[in-house]
Amino acid sequence: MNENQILDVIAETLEMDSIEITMDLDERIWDSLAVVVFIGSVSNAFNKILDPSELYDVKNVQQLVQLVIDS
Amino acid sequence: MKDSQILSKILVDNYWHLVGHKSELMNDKDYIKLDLLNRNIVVFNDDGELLAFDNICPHRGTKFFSDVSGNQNILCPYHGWSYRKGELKIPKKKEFSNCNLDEADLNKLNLDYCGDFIFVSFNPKQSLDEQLSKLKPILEEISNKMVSRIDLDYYEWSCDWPIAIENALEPYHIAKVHPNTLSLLKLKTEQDLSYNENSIWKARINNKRIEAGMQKIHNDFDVDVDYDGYQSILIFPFSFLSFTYGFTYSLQNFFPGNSSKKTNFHSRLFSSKVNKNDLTEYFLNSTIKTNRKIFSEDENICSQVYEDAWNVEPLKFCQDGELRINHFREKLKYILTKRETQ
Repeated sequence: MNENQILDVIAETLEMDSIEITMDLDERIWDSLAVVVFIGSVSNAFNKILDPSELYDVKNVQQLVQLVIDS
Repeated sequence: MKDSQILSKILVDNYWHLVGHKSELMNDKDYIKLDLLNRNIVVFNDDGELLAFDNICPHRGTKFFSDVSGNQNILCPYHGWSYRKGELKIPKKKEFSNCNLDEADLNKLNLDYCGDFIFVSFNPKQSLDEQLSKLKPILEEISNKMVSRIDLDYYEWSCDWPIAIENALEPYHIAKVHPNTLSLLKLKTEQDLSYNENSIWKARINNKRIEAGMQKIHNDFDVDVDYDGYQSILIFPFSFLSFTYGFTYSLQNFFPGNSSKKTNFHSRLFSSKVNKNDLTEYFLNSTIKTNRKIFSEDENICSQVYEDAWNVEPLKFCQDGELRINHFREKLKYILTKRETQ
């Protein structure tokens, strides 16, 4: 699992072609639905189970990537 | 008297009102309490039998129940009159020597069902089947998909009841009033259907991310979905059911308050049959929060509508998305006119 693979999963979750590590996540795109979909995708792709309450508070893609790496 | 006040009396008295779902009253002594005009009504599980009655002790008029929902005996806190298994129980019964206690009873209301939905009426002018018309099988099917209540909220809205209902009837306000919630779905009208006085609005979700996400969790949550979009159903006169896909179902009552400046808003959220785990719990909890935010935004804007701006005439400036309002007003005008000619 590397950073680019995680970025691909985030982009897929947000229905975007690609995503930058510097991108901010506001409530208009990073909502509970995105969190639920992302957790399912991470579980399938990396066999990791994430805590939804931690994910909801992330403010940018950088934090999200780090959270997946640390889990 | 204002038209809305005349109508509220007629509608409250003569129509059936959707007051709940059987899943809310599964256990003996479960109850729900609702405010409807100047009536305070209770639906209660009396040893497996559901009954609806005015929340007033027939002895001295004390309220049996204070909370909006719970599990407790029908017991008057004043002198201990109670009701159990179809029978009113009166302490020191032999000491009522100068009156006929056989006449004492709860003031019971008519009760009927559509699937698992519970309806009550005070003095119905038609059967529930007649009132629901072709909406009946649709409601039956929905009611069977609702499994348990996950939220209940009640508060007064500072507006007259038709203003609250008409707000729920039209999507035109969504972009301005709900910019960070409902507006994100980018709803696009697909169908506007009328079933006598009742109506359904069906809309597609035009936000690609949300639509894809809903499709995905639809599979993960194993939910039985019959329409992959958003629906809002007016169950005339005062109730709405709204839902997206069918993970949760929102039931709203906009009952007239005890003045033309008040609407009694009862909101309940039900989950469908989902595989319960941390993730579904999280999703359901976030849906509760979002729903409450949407209704709070609605209440805020409705409280800013000048109460005398409302009447039963069609909207002078009607956006296409507001046509359901004209349908609603047309029905109200007919009821009002019929009353005047009688």
